[in-house]
Amino acid sequence: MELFSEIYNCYFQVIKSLIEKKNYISEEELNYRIKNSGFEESILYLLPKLTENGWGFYEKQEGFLYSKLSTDFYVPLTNLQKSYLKAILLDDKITLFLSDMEIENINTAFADVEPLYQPDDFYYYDKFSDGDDYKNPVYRKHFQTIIAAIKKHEYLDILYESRHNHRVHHYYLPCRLEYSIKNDCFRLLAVESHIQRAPKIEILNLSRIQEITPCNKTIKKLPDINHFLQRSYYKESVKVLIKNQRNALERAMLQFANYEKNTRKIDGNTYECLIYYNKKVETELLIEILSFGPMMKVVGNDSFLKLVKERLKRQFMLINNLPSKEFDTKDFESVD
Amino acid sequence: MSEFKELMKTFSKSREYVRDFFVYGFKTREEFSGWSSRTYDNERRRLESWLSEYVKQDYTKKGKNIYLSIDSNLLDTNPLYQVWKAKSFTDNDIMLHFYILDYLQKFKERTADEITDGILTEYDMVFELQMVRRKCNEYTKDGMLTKKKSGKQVLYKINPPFQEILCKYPGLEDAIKLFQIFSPLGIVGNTIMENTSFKNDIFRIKHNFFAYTLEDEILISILQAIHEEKTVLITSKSTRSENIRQIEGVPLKIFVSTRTGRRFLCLYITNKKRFSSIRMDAIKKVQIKGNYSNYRKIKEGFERNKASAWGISFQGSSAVRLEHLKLTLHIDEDSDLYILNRLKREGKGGTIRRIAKNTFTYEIDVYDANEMLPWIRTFIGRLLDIESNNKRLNTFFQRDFLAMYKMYFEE
Repeated sequence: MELFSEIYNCYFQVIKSLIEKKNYISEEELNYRIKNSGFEESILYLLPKLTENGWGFYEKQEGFLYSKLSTDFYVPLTNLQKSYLKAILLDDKITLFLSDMEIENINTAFADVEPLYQPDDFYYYDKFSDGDDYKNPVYRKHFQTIIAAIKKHEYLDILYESRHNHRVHHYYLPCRLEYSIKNDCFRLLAVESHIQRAPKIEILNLSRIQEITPCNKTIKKLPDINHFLQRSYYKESVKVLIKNQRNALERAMLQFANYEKNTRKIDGNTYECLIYYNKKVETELLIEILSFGPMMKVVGNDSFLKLVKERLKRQFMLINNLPSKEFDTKDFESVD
Repeated sequence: MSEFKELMKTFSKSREYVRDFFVYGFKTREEFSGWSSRTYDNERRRLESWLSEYVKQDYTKKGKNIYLSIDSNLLDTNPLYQVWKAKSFTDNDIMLHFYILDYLQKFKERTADEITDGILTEYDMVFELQMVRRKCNEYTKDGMLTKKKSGKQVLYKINPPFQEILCKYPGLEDAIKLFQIFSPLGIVGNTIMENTSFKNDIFRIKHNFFAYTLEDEILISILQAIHEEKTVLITSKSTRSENIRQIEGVPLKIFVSTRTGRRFLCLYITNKKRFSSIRMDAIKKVQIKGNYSNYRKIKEGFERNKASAWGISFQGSSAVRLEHLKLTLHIDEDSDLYILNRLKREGKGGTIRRIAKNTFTYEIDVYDANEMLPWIRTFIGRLLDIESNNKRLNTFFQRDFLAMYKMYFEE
């Protein structure tokens, strides 16, 4: 079962998407669609192969290209793909999508292959232990109601219990469901009210949703969720200096790879990294940076720097208030 | 000078370039060691071609700096999957792919002879019989066609479209939308989405590390060895020193960190009789060797040991088998109860006790308490005491804390 195979090549996909459902196409449209679905330079290679005597998939007639292939053309699944499907059927989250009977039937349909992996092949050693309960029928019902509403662009009436056990009732337009791998939980990304002047994104933990009722009110198009998310980012990024000791640079670059960031070398052993973030991840980012110890120093923005300093001051005071832990700098300088 | 191609024959060299561009995002041509300027230019141009949407550039004193800027919270799929879709192919590969599959959709079961003739009649294209037969056999092995004997004839048939299954079980389509973006080998799910022409318009993923996909080919070989209970010979290159080394062992499990973006292969080193781990992104090659007869017994022992590993280490620096750690924390019971929740959900079953008002202890026994240091530092501002029979741990913490304090308040 080969992953790096031409069967999954981008050009194959581009051609498949061109021929399915349409038996003729103009050269202009062909051009446009290759540019939209191929790699940046695919057009240079693909266009002559499709319009001239190349691969012969099209015949030119009266300014149009007529496909010799069927509009019902399909590519069956490979064993690798079937094997992947069997693997995801073993994940505990699959019950959010399929009944036990459906899972069994799909397994039977792919009886000729083994799962590509078993859940037990992986161990997420620092995943939080209080993940969502995917077997809970109420949770499952809420999950499915949200998916249906996202597809229909339908408002939902949600009763929510906040972290401080306050119950709040609001109308939300659900836009996306966010899965956190670390927390092993789902959150709903929703816009509270699209009619408001400045609607903003709200993030609701699925496990805290008490009741959901569809409102039978829909809108034509979901708002641009990325626009809302980006607007929630602070104007000023966190600026950190990374000392490349104890492999800190590589560790930091990997750990912060899921943030939008920009890094540059400022001298022989120091790098400057700008990390873009929003209020909701501020504490998480703060403790991630603290976990690097002295290898990482926050130099901006001012409010984030203040948070770091407050924590350090508090720690310094805690240590010095204990009589047995006099903080003598000489004791530690020679240790490596 | 050879012509630039955005497709490639082998994956390994591009894997390292993409990883470096994605993870570091700041290396200029001069900083990539080991390869010529021409190689750098070609690899950079390929990367720009595959991932044009995410490539940014700026100018530094050292020259043009291109980098990948990807915010995983804003994406419906992993953009690095593109690199798996850049395998080069021949004209015959692509033509036979479309002609054979299309012909068998129209004409059901056919022999290689009939398919060869049919391609000429239907599409006006000539191919050698051997070439058609070879491609049909290849696609049978890949699972797209089925082969059956009828007398002396071998008939090929196209397998049914996946769409039929999706129509029966629409929930499966939504499941693929989710799993393709975060599950192990999610690239395969992504190819299913492309094949069946749907996109993820429902899910987003938090705490996702896109660079994992660059190890997926290596991962498939390791999983195969795990399932077949075989030993492997691993060739790896140190991420720090660039030294190449080989190690033979029994692969047991993939350890994944949801925080640090690192994945490890845990294996049993037979000649040293101990468990060890290797960074997945350091593995360059996997050779599957023979069966390991004691696999089940070793695996059982490993699962027992795993419970006392904080991270990936099965051996500490001190003489004792398990190292004890006790943290004493100041937690305001009126306003900071979420810190207690953190200890519960992140503390791997360690014991939490309230010893006085606003004062709690957390205790655990692990193989290597040094692995806990980054986590302990996340409680800076609340730590009253750290006690451990690993003496270096407390010293390390205090030394680092002092250095941090000086860094912010004295420099």
